[in-house]
Amino acid sequence: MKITNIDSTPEAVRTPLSHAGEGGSLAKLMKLNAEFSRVLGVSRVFVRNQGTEYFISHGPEETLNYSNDSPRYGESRYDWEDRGDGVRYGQLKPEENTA
Amino acid sequence: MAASKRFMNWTGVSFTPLNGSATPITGVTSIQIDSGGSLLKFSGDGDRYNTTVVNDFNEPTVSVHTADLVAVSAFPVGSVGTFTATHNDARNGSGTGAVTYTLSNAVVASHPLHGTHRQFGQAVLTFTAYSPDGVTNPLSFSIAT
Repeated sequence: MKITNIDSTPEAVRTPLSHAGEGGSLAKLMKLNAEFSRVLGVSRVFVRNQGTEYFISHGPEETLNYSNDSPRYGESRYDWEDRGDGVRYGQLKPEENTA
Repeated sequence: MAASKRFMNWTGVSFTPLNGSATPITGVTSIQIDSGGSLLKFSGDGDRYNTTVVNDFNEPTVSVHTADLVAVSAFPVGSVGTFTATHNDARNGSGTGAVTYTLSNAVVASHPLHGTHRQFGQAVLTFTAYSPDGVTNPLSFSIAT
């Protein structure tokens, strides 16, 4: 599903590992926090290393997909759109926002 | 002051059981955080060495060494909740550069207590974790600015 309002504040971000740049884990975390805390409109972001990418959100409890007790298990909770450089902005699906 | 990029001491160590309130864990002397990768190796035919090695599975764990035996005893094995700990910046404390580790859906795996003559009692609280969707890493990092 296409995000119709790209100008609205994203609720999560996925980035390739390479987007965090060079250096140690602290330098990468600082870079990701500096960029995406502004994007998400929060003072600090929570970063998870997903193996091939980072999943970044405003809180630690967010998940990429619906949980295994949901009939939608296996489906994404977000609609994702690439901003053009491999970084994807996510908006929670409408039913997630009304849950 | 800029982050020192060095770390010293842990603060804000707590476990919040599901539907409960945060219980601080004090007297922390050491914490080990492990993302818990598991390697699967393949060899066949006449191979003398593995020809493929992949990390196919992750099982994060956290181990806390603490003198807070009362807090540790309050968490039965199997308790589920959220574990949080901040590794302080060596210069700024819990300010700029401090890294907070959060283990969501943490499950108490063990909590043995140990006491020795003329030594402070110690406990080792170990958590494993699960991922509700099976794909999201339950271990997250955030940094203070």
